[in-house]
Amino acid sequence: MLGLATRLGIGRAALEEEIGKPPEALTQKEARDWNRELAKRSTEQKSTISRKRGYLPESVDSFELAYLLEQKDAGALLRFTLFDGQTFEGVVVGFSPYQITIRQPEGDEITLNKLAIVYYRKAGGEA
Amino acid sequence: MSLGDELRYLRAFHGGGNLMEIEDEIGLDPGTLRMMEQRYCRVGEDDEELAKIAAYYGASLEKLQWHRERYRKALSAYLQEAMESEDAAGFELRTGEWMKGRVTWWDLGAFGLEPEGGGPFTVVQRHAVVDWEGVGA
Repeated sequence: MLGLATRLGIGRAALEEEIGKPPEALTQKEARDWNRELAKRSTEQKSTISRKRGYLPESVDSFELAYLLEQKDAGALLRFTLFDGQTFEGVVVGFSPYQITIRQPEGDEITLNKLAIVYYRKAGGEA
Repeated sequence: MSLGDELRYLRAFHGGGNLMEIEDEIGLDPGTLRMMEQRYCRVGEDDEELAKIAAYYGASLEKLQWHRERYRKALSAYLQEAMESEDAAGFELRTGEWMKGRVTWWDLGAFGLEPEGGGPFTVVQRHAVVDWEGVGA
């Protein structure tokens, strides 16, 4: 149950508040019902993301997809660090399972292969 | 970094050859390398096969065995444990950097990290993680 809740972004404290007691104090039936409820929410969350899963391990998966969509919609400036140490800044204009296209501040668009990326974060130290 | 990710990295630096052709050249059963590169579970148990692959790429057998212990599912387990415990998790990246922080989510391709001591939220690509704390612990 805690694992399911964590996947939904619900911490232990929030879960306890919602169910009214620590998970360990639930009866077997209550635990089963809450598990069912959390599993249902998890399925609903997944079903809001309609896409074809990428085939290779570096592909954009569910959580990263949600994060990229959020940043794209917000027009957030991101800084990407690649394997060779190069960095690129830009706003996300689109992505596929294996590539992310950004528009750099000067207007140029560049497509980065996911496999070449080590990490990315908001530019300018913004959390 | 998993054996699969390391093998893909080595293949890229050897001209990104075709898997079937490499398998044929090395003398491996068809599909052996493809399976090693893509699976999430521990792979490469046959040291004789691994030695052939190491020789082809000019790598050491020990290096490939080291990566064999860092299979993708082991990283998943570490990420999940770190996320549930909310303890800081540490990762060595291909760039040589060590990154430490709280894991907020993970999926099959990446994970979200709130760096220890502040700093911007960071999305780390799993294939760029060379090592992490507590491997084999």
